[in-house]
Amino acid sequence: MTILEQIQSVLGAILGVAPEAINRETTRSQYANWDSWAHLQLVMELEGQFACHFTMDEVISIASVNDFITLIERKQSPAADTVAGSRLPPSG
Amino acid sequence: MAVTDLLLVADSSVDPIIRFLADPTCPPAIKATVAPYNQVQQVLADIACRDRSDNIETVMVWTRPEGAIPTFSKILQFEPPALDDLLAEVDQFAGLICEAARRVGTVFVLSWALPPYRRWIQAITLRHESGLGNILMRMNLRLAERFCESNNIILLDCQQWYASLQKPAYDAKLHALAKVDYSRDFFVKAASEIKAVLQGLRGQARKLVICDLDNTLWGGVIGDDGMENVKLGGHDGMGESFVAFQQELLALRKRGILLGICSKNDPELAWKMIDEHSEMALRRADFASAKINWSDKAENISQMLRELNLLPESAVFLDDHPAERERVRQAFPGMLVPDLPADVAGYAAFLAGLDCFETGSITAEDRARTGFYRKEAEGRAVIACGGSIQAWLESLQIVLKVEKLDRGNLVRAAQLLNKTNQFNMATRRMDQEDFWRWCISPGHQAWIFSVMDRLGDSGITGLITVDLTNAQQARLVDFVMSCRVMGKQIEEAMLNVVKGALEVRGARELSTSYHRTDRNQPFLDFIKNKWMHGAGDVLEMSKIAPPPHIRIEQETPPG
Repeated sequence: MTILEQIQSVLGAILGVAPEAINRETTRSQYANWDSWAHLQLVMELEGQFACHFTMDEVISIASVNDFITLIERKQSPAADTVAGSRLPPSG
Repeated sequence: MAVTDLLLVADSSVDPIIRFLADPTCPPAIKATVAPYNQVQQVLADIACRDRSDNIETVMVWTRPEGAIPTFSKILQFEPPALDDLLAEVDQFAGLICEAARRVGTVFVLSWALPPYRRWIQAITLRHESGLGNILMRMNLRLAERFCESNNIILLDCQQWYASLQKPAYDAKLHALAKVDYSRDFFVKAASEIKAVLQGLRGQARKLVICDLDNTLWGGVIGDDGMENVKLGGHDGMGESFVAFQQELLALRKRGILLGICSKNDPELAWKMIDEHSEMALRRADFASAKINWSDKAENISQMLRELNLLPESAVFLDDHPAERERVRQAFPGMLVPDLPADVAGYAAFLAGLDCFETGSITAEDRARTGFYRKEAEGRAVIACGGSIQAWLESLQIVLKVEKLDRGNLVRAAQLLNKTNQFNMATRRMDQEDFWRWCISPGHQAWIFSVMDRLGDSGITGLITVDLTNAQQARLVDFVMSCRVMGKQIEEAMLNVVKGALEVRGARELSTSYHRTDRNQPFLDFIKNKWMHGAGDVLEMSKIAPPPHIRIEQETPPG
């Protein structure tokens, strides 16, 4: 399963939509029920599945599926351990 | 599978647990709802005022000590400990829970603990009546003391959850963003513990552990290595690990879990090892059944389950060999067949950590269970050697003792009601106090049965309850018998006793409250020929007859 597929599965279950309805460009603003609580559930679940940890800054900054993928890929890269206080790239 | 309803009453955000409780792949599926945030006292008071008919199935009270007990919060801030005030608050809190519990099926209460990240002053934390750890222990003991009269309140051990998690139990950002005081992993752990306890309370816990021998109970192969060379004890790391594993199994046996052997082995060599090796913690008498031969393990296990009157869902199979585990998994999808740790050193801890043996109580019958089964096996051996079943039954000199339900036998009776699956007409689950109240209410009657024979006393193994609201048309509400005494026509004698008592009172008709489950086929097999027309219908009285080989002893006739 790719990172996107895992996010599709988890986010789909949390939002109550079909996984196929979610793609890399899906943003929080597209779903009214992707509220702060759903967002936190998604964070907890993805942290569990990818065995990684998001900082509070990161959690607040994530606005789309793409943000999640970028962040997870960065945390999974071998250099991740050496990048202190990794931040999201400016969105858009 | 029925879904359990659970109301979570908490002083922090516990919503993340809902998804884990709902997971149907880990039974039972629990549909949880969360009461209004941080209104524990109000919600409990509200529940206590409800009508009993507006029953809530299960409630979980999940509080933090500093949230529930204001004085504890002050002690956390290093104010001088006011112990009397603190305990008065604990009593008040416990009282609210006890009141609410009268309106609820089961109440889970999470004991109080501080998260591991919170380090108090180590040098004084356990100091008598002033250290934080000491005071916290007192608070939990006080809760336990206050709950001891309420059998439907289960105090769960939060400290053990923290200790066993071995992953962070707290995530600071979750607290900062949403007042969630526990990590995802903690919620997963909590959900699995709650489910395990519920399984136990409902009689769905495992009752039998079937073990392989070579490289499972001892290191090496007895047939190849010989008794002198197998690894067991002997100041050897590996040998000591096997002894530790056996000791864990022995502890399970002593609390009522049956042990069985299923091993491809030379039976003579294997028994010699079990009987004579000085380091064996388990001996022949510890096993309720043994299949030591060269046959297929699934076939052997199938036979063992039949002999013990148990279902695959009641058993755990432990074997070091992956292929044997796979064979048994395929043959019995309901059986728990875990992979043992790769390192023998972890066997004992692995077994001690299994959560599938939960129970609400441990009775004298539990402690003596293996002995009962062994005696049964001796009887079957007589038949297998050519004796007739009737001759064997007569030789047993069975006595069926009939008693009234009283406070002395209530615990075992409630356990029987809640743990029996196979010979159980209605599979009505009730906590002890609800069952007591039901039995003593007008128009209701309970008969409790104990079975003895020349081989020993099986203890309380049957119960029948009847609704006599209509004196002429009595209705059996519960008809439960332990699988331990199946196959001796005890059920026939039980029904005949009740029939006789009801006829004396003028009952002309006796009907059943049969509820089919996926496990109570043995009851159906017994009753189906006695129904006049169909399931749940009136019984044909003439088909209820006393078995000649059972003597009835009625010390205190019910009623």
